[in-house]
Amino acid sequence: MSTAFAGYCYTMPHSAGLNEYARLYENIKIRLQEPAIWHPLKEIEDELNILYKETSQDNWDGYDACAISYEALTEAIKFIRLLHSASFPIPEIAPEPSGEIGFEWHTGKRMVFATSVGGKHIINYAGIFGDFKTHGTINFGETLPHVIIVNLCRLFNKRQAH
Amino acid sequence: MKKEILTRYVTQSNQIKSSNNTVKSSAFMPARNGKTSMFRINDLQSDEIWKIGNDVAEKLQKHLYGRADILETAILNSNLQYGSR
Repeated sequence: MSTAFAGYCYTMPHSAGLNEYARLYENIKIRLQEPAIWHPLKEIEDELNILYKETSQDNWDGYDACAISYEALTEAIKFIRLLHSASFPIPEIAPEPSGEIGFEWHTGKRMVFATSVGGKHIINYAGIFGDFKTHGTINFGETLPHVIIVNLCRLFNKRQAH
Repeated sequence: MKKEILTRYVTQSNQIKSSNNTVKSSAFMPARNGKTSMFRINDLQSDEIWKIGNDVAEKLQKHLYGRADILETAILNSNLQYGSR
């Protein structure tokens, strides 16, 4: 029994990225194959505000995470509102140890798109769409960046009408 | 051969999907140091597993919301490095 008390961990190799984690989640099968659910805007904004309260101090995860800034929160709310007005499904949200707020959509096996904002007027994004992969950084102003729209349309198999 | 089961203790409410009480993928994301703690639970009774979780949460000064069990093979098949510390 004593061996069970030994802490184990997995480590992200420097070369690893979204692909490795996508594969892990597929194996874990924690219902990530479900399509993103449409949340009422108020509900998701409440969720973001709670997230901010829980993570606005450094070390919120107990493992030296950076605090989520108020600027990151306001940028996340702006991003969610733009998604909503463009009729895209609201993603799953989560704080990231880097101090950013992450957004993820999964629609099936190897069909995932993730973005994050940190209050610095940029969006980091990465996606896997079957065999096609993409990632990058884009400026974030007052509208939803075209590359984000393109990738969400790709994920949800929608025509670009935005 | 018995499959190795690992558990990840969930100590943040934002790692749980309230809509269906399942764990979000973010529960498995690594900390800033690139590592994520897991615990081997084969051959342990349920109360022993939860006791470890409570100890972990207490050490982190967090609340224990739950745990997510996964097979070791899920980690190995994902090209993630895995080992004791």
